[in-house]
Amino acid sequence: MANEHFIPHAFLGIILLTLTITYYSSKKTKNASDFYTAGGGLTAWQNGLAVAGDFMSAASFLGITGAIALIGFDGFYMSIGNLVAFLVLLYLVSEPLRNLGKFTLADMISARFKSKKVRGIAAANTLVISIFYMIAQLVGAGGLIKLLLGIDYWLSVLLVGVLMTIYVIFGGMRATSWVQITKAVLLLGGSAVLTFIVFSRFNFNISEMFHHVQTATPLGRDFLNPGNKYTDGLDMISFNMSLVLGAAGLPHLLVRFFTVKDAATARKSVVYSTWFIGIFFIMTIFLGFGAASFVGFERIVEANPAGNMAAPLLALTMGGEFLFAFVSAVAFATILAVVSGLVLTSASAFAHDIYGEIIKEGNITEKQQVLVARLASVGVAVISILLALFAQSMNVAFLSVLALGIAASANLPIILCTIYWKRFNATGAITGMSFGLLSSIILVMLSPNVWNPEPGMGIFTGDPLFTMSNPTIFTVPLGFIGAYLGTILSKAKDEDNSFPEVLFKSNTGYGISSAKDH
Amino acid sequence: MESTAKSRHSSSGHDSGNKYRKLIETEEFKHLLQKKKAFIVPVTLFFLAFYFVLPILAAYSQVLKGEAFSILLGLGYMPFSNSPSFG
Repeated sequence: MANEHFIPHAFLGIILLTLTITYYSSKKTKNASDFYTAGGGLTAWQNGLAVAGDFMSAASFLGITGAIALIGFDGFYMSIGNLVAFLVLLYLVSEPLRNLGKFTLADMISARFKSKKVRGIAAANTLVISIFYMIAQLVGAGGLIKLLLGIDYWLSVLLVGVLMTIYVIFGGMRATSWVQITKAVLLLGGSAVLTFIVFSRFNFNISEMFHHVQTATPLGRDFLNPGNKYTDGLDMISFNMSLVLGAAGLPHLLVRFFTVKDAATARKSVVYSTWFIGIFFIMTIFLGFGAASFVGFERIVEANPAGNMAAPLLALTMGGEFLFAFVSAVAFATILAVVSGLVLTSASAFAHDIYGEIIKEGNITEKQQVLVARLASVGVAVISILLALFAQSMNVAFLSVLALGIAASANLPIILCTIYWKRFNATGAITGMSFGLLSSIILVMLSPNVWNPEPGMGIFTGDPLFTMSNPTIFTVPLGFIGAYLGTILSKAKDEDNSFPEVLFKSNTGYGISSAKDH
Repeated sequence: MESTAKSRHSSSGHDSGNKYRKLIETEEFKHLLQKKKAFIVPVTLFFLAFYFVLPILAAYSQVLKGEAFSILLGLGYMPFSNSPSFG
């Protein structure tokens, strides 16, 4: 597979395209607002594509297609969870976030609580979530590029790592967003072509497709029934919960709402992205069924046991080498676009929150701010690359579980309480975030993701103390309980007395800096 | 940008606290908030409940075990859970 001769050209094409975007973006990236938020100048549909792009990660394109091809119905949960998450984002989070924050998630929480501790923990959460997520993506990327391009794992990780760092350092959020937008268009286009070909093979008849897949896989008729992967009901509900609530607390998605000019545009961009993602996930059903029918269970598993090669192999079967190269290159672009967003988010949390606001107490010039952000990008990238190289042989699935879990149980409760609960105070914010963070980490560390009786399936061999692979159903309530207990048990009321201000600003957008004022 | 950051810090004193307290007491603002709540709260609760019915049914009932019914129902979930009715 590695010597398909179109692939290196297609990959080179993606690299050149993204570097061109970075070059033009770098010319426009002059101050901190350019670096962190692309100057707030994206339109609703541009940001909608970028947000959709963040959702359509390599994990969803390759992972969901593979999961649907191999396990049928159960693979499908991953896609609808993401969609409902958008309602939470749209109605509860995106507008207040845009109205209160400036560059980062911690900005928004600090709009209510001027405490350095609150900002520090919020920034630390952002760093932990983004870096865990990035390592999971990099390890996946390394394996995938190794498979597609035939180069070593370490070289694959390094290639992705260097490219993502270049985009972020030179082009900041503008390059990151445009790489994401470009990839979203390529991915939607590529999927549409594949979907069309698959659908045409079924004579454009949905029921023919459904009948065919019932005989095409080893699962037989059970292919279309639930229960092929998730046998523990509570664990499955917990997994769904982490998708719905986690997505609304993922920092690299939330910062995208700062790249538009106001809350109305932020809302509109969620509407656009919901459509893009909805269409995309409907296409993954066709791709998954197509792969199950025309590539076949054995060939998919032979190429990669997790099913990650289902989409590229489908392209090879249906459209020949050229389409195979195209789809592989799109998968590569997908990885690049998502990890660069993660680098930018981590660098912002470090440079803006920890260095700018906590260490320097806001006394920092534009130039220093951007310089520190660039240095932080390099630092974050180097750490993540090293950890990803170290984690090559590990099963890192637990890192994504952990990232989504922390986002759902440490970030979302605090965001909601900050905006909607009058009595909430700084102590509650700190205890809520700590409860959510620590309970997620501890429960995942005790779970079957890490402890597995079969050697090689987890990080350690042994019986897990906590039997569910996804603890979100417990950790989200714990986050809320932490916020509640911290608030009512501490003597201080809302010290800053800022709820009226936060309530007013979050609903009206009063006092936010306009996009084009620099 | 530096100046906006500073002004935000200084505006958190008691004077501006009173200003916002008066602002949120205005009829206009109360009306806005009430209208927003009347829409957001039921819609959010409905969609979350609607969504969780799927995994709960899949886990604890036989409803979804019919022939080809499951995915069609699942497909039905997508456009419904995905109707952006305001923006």
